[in-house]
Amino acid sequence: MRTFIEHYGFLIVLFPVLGAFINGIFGRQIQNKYGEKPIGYVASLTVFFSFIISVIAFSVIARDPQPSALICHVYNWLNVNFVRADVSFLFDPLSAVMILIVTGVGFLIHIYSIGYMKGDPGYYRFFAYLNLFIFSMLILVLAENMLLMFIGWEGVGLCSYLLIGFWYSKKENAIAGNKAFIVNRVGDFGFLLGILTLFWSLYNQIAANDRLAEFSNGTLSLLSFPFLAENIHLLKGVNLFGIPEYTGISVITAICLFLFLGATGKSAQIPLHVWLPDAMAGPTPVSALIHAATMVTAGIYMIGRLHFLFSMSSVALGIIAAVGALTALFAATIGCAQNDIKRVLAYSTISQLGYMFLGMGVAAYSAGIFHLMTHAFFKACLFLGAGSVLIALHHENDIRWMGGLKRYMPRTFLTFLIATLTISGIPPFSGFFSKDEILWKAWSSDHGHPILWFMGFVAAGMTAFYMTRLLLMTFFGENRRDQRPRDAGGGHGDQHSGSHDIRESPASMTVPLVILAFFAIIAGFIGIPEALGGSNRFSHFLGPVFGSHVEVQHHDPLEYILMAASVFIALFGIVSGVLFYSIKPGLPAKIVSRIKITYDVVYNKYYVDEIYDFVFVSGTKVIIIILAAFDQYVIDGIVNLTGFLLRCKSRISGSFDLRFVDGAVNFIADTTLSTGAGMRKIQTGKIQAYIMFLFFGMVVFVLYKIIF
Amino acid sequence: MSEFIQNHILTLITFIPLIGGFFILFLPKDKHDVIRWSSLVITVVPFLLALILFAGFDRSVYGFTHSNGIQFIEEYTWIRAYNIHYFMGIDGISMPMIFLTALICPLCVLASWGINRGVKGYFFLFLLLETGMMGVFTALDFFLFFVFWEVMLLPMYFLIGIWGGPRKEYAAIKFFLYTLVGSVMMLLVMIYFYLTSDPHTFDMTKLAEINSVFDYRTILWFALFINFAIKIPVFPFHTWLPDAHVEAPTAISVILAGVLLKMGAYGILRINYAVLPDVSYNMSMFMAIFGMINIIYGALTAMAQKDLKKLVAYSSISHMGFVLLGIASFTNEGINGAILQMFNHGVITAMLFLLVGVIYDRAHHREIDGFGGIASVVPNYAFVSFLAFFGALGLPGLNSFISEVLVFIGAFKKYRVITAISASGIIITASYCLWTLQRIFLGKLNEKYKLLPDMNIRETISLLPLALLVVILGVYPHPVLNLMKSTVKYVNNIFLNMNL
Repeated sequence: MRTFIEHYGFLIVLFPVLGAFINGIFGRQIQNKYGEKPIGYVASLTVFFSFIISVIAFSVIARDPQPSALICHVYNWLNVNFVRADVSFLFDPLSAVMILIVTGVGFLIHIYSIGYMKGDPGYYRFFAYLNLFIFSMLILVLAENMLLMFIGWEGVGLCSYLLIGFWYSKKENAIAGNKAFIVNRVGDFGFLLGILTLFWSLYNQIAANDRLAEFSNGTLSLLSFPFLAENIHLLKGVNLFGIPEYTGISVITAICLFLFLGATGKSAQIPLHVWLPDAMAGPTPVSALIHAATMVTAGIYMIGRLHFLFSMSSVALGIIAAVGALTALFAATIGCAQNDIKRVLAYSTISQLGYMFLGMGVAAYSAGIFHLMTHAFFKACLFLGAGSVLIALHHENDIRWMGGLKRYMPRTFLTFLIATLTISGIPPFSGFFSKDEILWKAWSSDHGHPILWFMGFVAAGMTAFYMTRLLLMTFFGENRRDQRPRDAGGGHGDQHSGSHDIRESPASMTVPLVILAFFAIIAGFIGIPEALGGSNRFSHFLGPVFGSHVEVQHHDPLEYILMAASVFIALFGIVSGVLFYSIKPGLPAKIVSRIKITYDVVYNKYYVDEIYDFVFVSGTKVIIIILAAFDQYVIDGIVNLTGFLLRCKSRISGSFDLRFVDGAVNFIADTTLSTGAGMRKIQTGKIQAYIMFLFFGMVVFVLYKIIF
Repeated sequence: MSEFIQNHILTLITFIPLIGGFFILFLPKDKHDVIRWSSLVITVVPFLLALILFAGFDRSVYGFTHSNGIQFIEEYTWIRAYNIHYFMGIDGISMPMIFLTALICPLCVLASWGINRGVKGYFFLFLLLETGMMGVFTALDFFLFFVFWEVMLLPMYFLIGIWGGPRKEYAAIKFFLYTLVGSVMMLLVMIYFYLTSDPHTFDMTKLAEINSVFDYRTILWFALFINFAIKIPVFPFHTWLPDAHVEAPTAISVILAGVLLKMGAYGILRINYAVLPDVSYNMSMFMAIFGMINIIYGALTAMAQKDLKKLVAYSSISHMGFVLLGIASFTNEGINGAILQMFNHGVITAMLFLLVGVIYDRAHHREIDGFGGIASVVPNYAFVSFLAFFGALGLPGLNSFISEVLVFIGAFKKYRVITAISASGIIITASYCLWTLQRIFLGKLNEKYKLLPDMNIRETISLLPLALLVVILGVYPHPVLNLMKSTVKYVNNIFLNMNL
């Protein structure tokens, strides 16, 4: 089986791109001729095949007692001097976990989309993009070197852009897509600088050690992950570009921070988080797959992939942890004040991603990846549940006008409930284990700090609170649909009154929900910490990647205290949620009126969008207007003025010519070409005529030479 | 016969368009379709020859002498009194350019199908232009190079001036004067080279060999550089470009951006680098800074444009900045990236101008804000446009990503800050590309274009080869990279061995 993956592992990537190709090129004809069915089947089946091979790959890796890097080399992509990049796929425990998540959750969401997208004229387009996304994400995850990873990195960005703007006839959707891509480009800029700095600093060290000869046969690649893992130690203690003035900054820190900028873009962390809430303009399966379960975790995955690099810079790790904790808290506060069901979930995603970064930042890499996995299940479940609700309510997405849906949609409700409990961190659901491990490491790890723990702790309480609020306002109480003001925007305009037409979604949508909810419950059991008598198999499985740092065997009593505290704060969040939104429904309004200003700031997402809009968007607009005017009036103005002056001068000297200089002018001797007189002669075509004669003379000559 | 082709392939590739052009002159004036089809056939021949060149090109040669490095040489004494030779040959720098030219010309004939006025003259001039372009890339005698350089200028002037848009005279004269100023400088340098060399020669390989005899090197370098900088075009010599593009007919814009701009960078590599290597090396920082300015300035001004064609024109300025930055890096990676970028930009910008032409033929205007939501009406056109614009913004997986990354990697070795600033151009480029796509294709459908017809077969055929190249060279760049690698190594080693 090992050789199978070595030779055919690329099939995992190939199937989805085939699907994208079929649906992208022929989809429109297929849809017109045979309807939607074949399109959905082709798309889902390709992902299913990928999933099967992923399972095989996973089992190969899992059974391997001494996992060495399993690389499926396909072909050489780029080979210029020292820049070498192959299309090669790297299978190790980390990528094995990721491909299972991507293809597994991806497959479920494909199935779900068959029902969700029914009747959409762009059905084929949707599935082509979705397949293309799976392809890009798999490239990102399986890439053996940083340049190939960059293909996946931007490929998923492209698909995200295309899918956010999927319903492009609404201008806001298209603009949200632009925003996502451009904000991500800011991150990519950092990513690129990281690659450049890494490349040359490593090159310099290798050159300094006289090892360049190793590259002469052209099979080694400076940017391949195995090579980096082996040689990154060369950069220890190297200053940024060896410039003594910068002695404070090590080159490792600089690289890590550049790459982290890329990660903040893709994974929607402060300061580049602004695109994710707007990305909810895309169809809900997209929000579930791309903007919750997979793509947005790319930043975390990248840090995990390069953990050996990040581990060498405690400054960078500290910044990552701080940004993660801050984002977790910051997004959680916003989540408490939003009314759009998908936006609440979007901020919740940002917040949960913050947890993952917190985990990575305290060097608890396997904890971060563990949370990535559990989050993929419960957040996908939440989003798909929201999608189910949206379909039932004809795209009414404001939770103020929902309510009472548990009666009409029992399966959606039940799965949503499970996922809510999971994200809130209630044991024994999986979210508890993964979040708690991060919080524990945030306190106890060498890179941790109680403040980091406290931020995560508070955010955990808020998470429980806003999720309870969401659950209650959506599924409990009376249906408030008829209270909706008629003139308020949003929705699809078809204002049915009453709730008689609310129906549970079809099986193609609820079955994926049930499966995801099932995994949300049980996924935690593979990572039960030793402190609770488990064996944390997940962490051991990833051990070969992250280095199996043997855990402290004696169990710190603090761990139990913190664990109890997390459960307590989660319960506290839930109880206060119930109190606010079920028992005393008048209370929130009262409190809001007390803290009006704070509430407004939070409700308006701290005005970050407005500030960015003013500084960057308007700023750029002003700059480009100035530059365009500069181009048109100054530079071109000088050109036109020169032309005008030359015309005047040539008129004067032209008359001079006529009177004093004999008409015949020697062409070569006339080196006063720069004067107006010369100009004018050229304009009249004398040189050109000469050249043309010369040229045609040459043509005749060449013909002569060739023929005789 | 095949031996004849083998021995004279460069002459054939250069002069077949011209001979064909004369043939067209004898065709009846009002048989437009005959003229079109014959032009198409005539331009396909050089393409087939370019394929033969491509197949027979020795990718491992290294050097810049008659015996080494230059291939498919044809040399005859032309004007014995002045030691002027008809000397043609190609190496890894010119080969990709010849292939690009040979590929783009037939597509441009397809794009010129709609020309109804003075068809005969148009295609004659067009074919003459192709001869000029091919000649520039194959000539290795400076005098011959200069002749072709000028030959190219004239048909261009008329093609813009006669078949252009409303301000065609202004644009044509501006183009003409700009290029002329440059040519004059090059002419003076050429004469100086000739008179100083002993024995007098125009042979570029010899000039490169004896380059240390020339004095006033910096002045000579600048004179040549300005000539080539105008062609690239480098800020602040760029203002002829937007005007020329906006007024020129579609096919001529394609040639302008796809091939002509490359001649500037080609000239710098061929003449400045070969004959004045030390000055070139000393000027690298200067070139890198101008490369950076081009990238950022071009992208920002592109964003401000309201006319789609002008936007594409400014984007060319931005993209050619990468070429300048790459060749200024004096690294293997950077120069390879620059030449690859020349090729890739040729492909992508040709696509973009062809696409502008397609929409202009239907809507009769190019105002970006005058469309909106047309993706639903013309899905195929939208698909190709998205591909082209994403190629232009350097999406990884498409061809220009590779060249841009190589340029960045190459340039970053020497110029950290300049490269970092240039790299921020990827954000600006993404912004204007997406903003353009959004305003034209997305949003609410402009009712005026409810019945806009999608691309027809001719337009599809003219775009398809380019679209395929954008994708294929993105995942498998070796066909083009392998052509140039060994020559670039040679060029770069000159500088490494100079011990400056």
